[in-house]
Amino acid sequence: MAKIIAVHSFRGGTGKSNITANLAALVALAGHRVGIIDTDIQSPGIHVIFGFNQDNVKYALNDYLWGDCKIEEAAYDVTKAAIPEPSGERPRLFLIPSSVKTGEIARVLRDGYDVGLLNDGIHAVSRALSLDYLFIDTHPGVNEETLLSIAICDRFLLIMRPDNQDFQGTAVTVELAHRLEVQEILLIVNKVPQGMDCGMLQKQIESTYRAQVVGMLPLNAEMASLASSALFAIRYSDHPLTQTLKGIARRIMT
Amino acid sequence: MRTDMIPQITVHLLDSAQGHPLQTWKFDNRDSVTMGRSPDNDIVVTDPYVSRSHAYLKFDGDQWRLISLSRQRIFYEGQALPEVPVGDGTVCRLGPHGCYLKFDQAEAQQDERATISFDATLMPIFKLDREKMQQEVSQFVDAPYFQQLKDAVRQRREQQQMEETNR
Repeated sequence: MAKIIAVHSFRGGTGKSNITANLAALVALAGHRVGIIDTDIQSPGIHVIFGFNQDNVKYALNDYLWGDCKIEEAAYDVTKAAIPEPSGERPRLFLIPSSVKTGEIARVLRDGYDVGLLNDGIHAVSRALSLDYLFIDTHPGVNEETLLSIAICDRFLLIMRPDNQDFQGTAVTVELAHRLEVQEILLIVNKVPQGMDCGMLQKQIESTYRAQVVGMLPLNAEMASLASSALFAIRYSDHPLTQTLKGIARRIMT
Repeated sequence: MRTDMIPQITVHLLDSAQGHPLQTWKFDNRDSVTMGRSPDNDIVVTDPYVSRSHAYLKFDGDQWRLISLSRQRIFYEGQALPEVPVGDGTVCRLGPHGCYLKFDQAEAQQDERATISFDATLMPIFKLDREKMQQEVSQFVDAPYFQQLKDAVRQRREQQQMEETNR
């Protein structure tokens, strides 16, 4: 059965999709079958990091939620875009994108969707593609879909920036995760300014949230300049930032 | 050489994105200054990409030189170097991904505040309003969906455990 990793942030702009894509690629690279499902239906974006063109996409997650296809029909093999020279059944990386069509996004906002169906889909696609790991890239904030992702995951990965707004908002999300009896809550602090006392920051976050900080990523010029155009961990495989991401990926796989 | 003959050296830790000094150290009557992540250095930086003992400044009787102690070396004008002569306004980077430092020798530019300029935004002191947090948490927890979800997940976990036991 696939391990489900929900990746979430209270606010937008934390680098959630970028970190999700990089971690998923690193876990796949370690020899696993990995899926990423973009449940950020209102503002999808993770497909861009894989250079995935939605023009030729027949089905997206939205189509599954409207009952127009099976969820595995909305899954696309993006291994070649992420991993140099893949071979055989493993490593494999699949993406279930959300539609970027404005009509589809508007429909979700207008009509909503059956969150229970999303739950069924997450388990169905894990079985159909024989996944070892499934990453859920969630919509920022807290809503029914977020709560579902938190509730059903094996590991809940929360990404925050070191500022007061994130500190308060993340605390709410962590508390909800504790109440949903999530098996493991892991925190990543991203965009840490140069010169900030990392040890003190980690101590403060861990004691406040009762959760482990598994990585602190500095505000990085190279990653910022790549924006969402490529997988940083693959392009800069020896970069210290990649070493930190690899450490987080190993933690996810333990 | 008498240490009182050695020109003062000032080191600024820069915010690489904007080139603003985040912290400043000024050294008088010294012929060497160490820098790195380790707390026993004269200049301690918390940057994870800087080595514990990364480099030191040495006055060679004529000018200040920055000498690398790390395999990460010193980056100056895009080149990895073991040693860099330091003049007024020289900017170097500790390693390919470490912090930027700027050096000043002109005493006239230094004033009393130059000993340490402290940027409070770099101290991670965040305040959690627990009352507000509990209010927000209650909004979700008290909703029927949350309880349904919690019950459903608990049932599923129990079912999984039974399946694993029966295997």
